[in-house]
Amino acid sequence: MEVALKQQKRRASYWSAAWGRFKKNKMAVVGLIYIIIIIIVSIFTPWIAPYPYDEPHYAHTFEKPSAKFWWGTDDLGRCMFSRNLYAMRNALLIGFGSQIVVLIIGVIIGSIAGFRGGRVDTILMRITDIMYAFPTFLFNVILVTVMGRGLFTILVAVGVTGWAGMARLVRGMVMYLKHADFVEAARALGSKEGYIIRKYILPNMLGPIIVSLAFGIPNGIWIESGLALIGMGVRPPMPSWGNMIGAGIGYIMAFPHMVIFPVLTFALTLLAFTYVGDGLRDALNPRSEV
Amino acid sequence: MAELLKVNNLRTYFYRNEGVVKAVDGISYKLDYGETLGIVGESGSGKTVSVLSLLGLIRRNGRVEGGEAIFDGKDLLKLSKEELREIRGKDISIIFQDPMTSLNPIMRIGIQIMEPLIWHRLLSDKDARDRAIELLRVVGIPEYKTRFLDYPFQFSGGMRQRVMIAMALACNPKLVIADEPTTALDVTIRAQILNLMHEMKEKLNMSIIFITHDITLAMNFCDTIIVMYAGKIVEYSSIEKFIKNPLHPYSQGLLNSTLDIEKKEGSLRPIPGNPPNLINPPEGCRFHPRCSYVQEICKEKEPELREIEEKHKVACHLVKGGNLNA
Repeated sequence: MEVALKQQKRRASYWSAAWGRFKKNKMAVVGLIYIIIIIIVSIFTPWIAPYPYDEPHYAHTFEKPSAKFWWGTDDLGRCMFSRNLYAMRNALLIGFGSQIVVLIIGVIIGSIAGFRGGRVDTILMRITDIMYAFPTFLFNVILVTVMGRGLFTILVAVGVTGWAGMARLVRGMVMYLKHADFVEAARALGSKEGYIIRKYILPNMLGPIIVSLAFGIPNGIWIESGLALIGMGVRPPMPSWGNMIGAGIGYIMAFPHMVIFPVLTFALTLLAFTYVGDGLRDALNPRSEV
Repeated sequence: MAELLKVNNLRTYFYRNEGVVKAVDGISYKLDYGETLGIVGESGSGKTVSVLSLLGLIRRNGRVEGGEAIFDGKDLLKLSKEELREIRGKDISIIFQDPMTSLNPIMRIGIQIMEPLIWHRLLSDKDARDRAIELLRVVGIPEYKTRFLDYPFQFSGGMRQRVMIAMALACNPKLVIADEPTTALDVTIRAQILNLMHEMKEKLNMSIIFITHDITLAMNFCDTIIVMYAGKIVEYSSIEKFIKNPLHPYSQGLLNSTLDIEKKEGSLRPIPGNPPNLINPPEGCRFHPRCSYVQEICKEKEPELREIEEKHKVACHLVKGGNLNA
C-alpha cells in the first residue's frame, strides 16, 4: 500500500483537499496564524518575558504603558506584559491539556458503548447523561477544592467534567460506522476486524473528533479563567487571565490598562479558537465538496 | 457442468423481542460453475439473508439454524470465523446494492481495490497495485491510471459500482454474489453494469448469484431463476421454462406488476396486500391471503416444492400437469 501512496503528485489527498477548503475561510486562517503565534510565544515565554511574573517593582506600581513596562504594571509593580504571557501560557496548557483528557475518556467510553451495545451501552450512556446534566462549573469547583489548585489538577478537573459530549459523539459515530455499508462491504470481502477498526472506523471518526476538540479548547480556557476569577484558579502569584481581570476591574477607572490588556488577549484567543473550529468543521467534512 | 455450490434446507432465524423472524425457512438450491442464478422476490422475502447466511455475515441477532451449504467440497456453515474470512472476497465475493455508501469515503479507490488482494496475501503490494490498475481498465474506468488515486466522492454512482465490481473481482473469485447491484443506479447505467458483469462472467468463468426484485431483469440476465416468497422458494426453474410457462401465482403476479411496452394500458396488475409478517406466517401456503386463485387446501396444507417438468419446480397445490388449474 505504501507503494501507491508515494505517487500522489497530481491527485489531492484528503488532507490537502481539507486544507484547500480551510483556506477559503479567511477568519479561520487569521485565527490559525494567531494561534500558531501564541503557541510559539507560550513555549518560549521564560525567554521572551522581560521580567519574571512574580517580580514586584514597588517604585513602579500602577504605571501606564512605557518603554520599560510595555503594558504597564499592576498594583504591586509587576510587569503586565510578562504576566499576560504567563497567563496565556497557563490558559493554553489547560485548554489543550484538558482536551487530551476529554479525548482519552470520551473516546474510550464512547467506543466501548458503541461497539458493545446492549446493557454496557445503556449503563455507560446513563453515566454520560448524568455527567452532561450536572452543572459543569460547580463540579469543577468541587474537584479543584478536593484536589488542590495546581495547574495539573485544574487541567484534569476541566477534562474530567467535559467528556460527556465527546463520549456521545464517539458512540454515535461508532454505532453508525460499525454497520456502515462500506464497513460491511470490507467485512464481506474478507477484511480482519482489526484492519476495519484501524483503516475504516478510526479515520472516519477523526474529522468530527478534531472539530469537537477545537471547540473544546476555548471552553477549557474559559473555565480556567472563570475558576481564577472566583479565586479557585491557579494559586497566586501565578497569573491567570481570570485573576488578572478580577484584580484589574477594581482599578478600571484610574488604571484601565490593567483590565484592557488581559481582556483583549483573552477575547482574541477565544475568538481565534472559535473561528478555527468553524473553519475545521467546514473543511473536514469529506462530503462538503463534490 | 460441475457443481460449485449446493445449499440444503437452509434456515436462518432472527431473534427479536416480538418473536422469532423466520427470514429464511428451509431453502435448497444448487449452482454450477459458470451458472448465473437469479433470486427474485419482494423486499423482506429473504433473498439477501439467504446468501449472507452462507458467508456468516448476518447480524448478531440472527442465526443460521440448520441446513448445509457445500461450496467446493466444504460446508460453509461449519467453518470457523477465520476460515470463512479466508473464503470471503477470495472465493466468494459480494457486490453491494448502494455504491454511494459501500466505499470507504476517505480511502483512495485504488487502495480499496488492492485491499482484498493484500488481505488474502495473494500478491505483494507492488503487484497488487498493478493488478488494481488493470482491474480499473477492465471495468471500464476512463483515465484509469490517474483515477486510481481518486477518492470515492470524485466518482459518479455508475463509476463507483464499476469500482465495487473491480473490488469483487480482484481475487478471481469462483462465485460472485450481486446483491441488487443495479437498484441504486439509473436505467442507462443499469444496462452498462449488467453488460459489464456478463462480460466479466464470460471472461473469468465465474458463477453469479444475482439478487434482484426486478423479475424482468433476472429473466434477461440469468440461466436459472428462484422466486422467493416469505422465506421460501415458490418457484425454481431454468430460465427458458420460466419465460415460457411461469406457473406459481406469485411469479405471475410479479410479471403482471411490471410494465410491458407492447401491452395495452391497464395491463399493470399489482399484487394486492403486503408480504406477511414472518414471526407468524400464514398457515398453509404463505401466499394464500394474497392469491387470487386461493382454495380451501391452500389455507390448510403447506405446498411442497414439486418437480413439474425437468428443471422446473413449483410449490403450489393448484399446479397439475404443467398447468395452473384454477
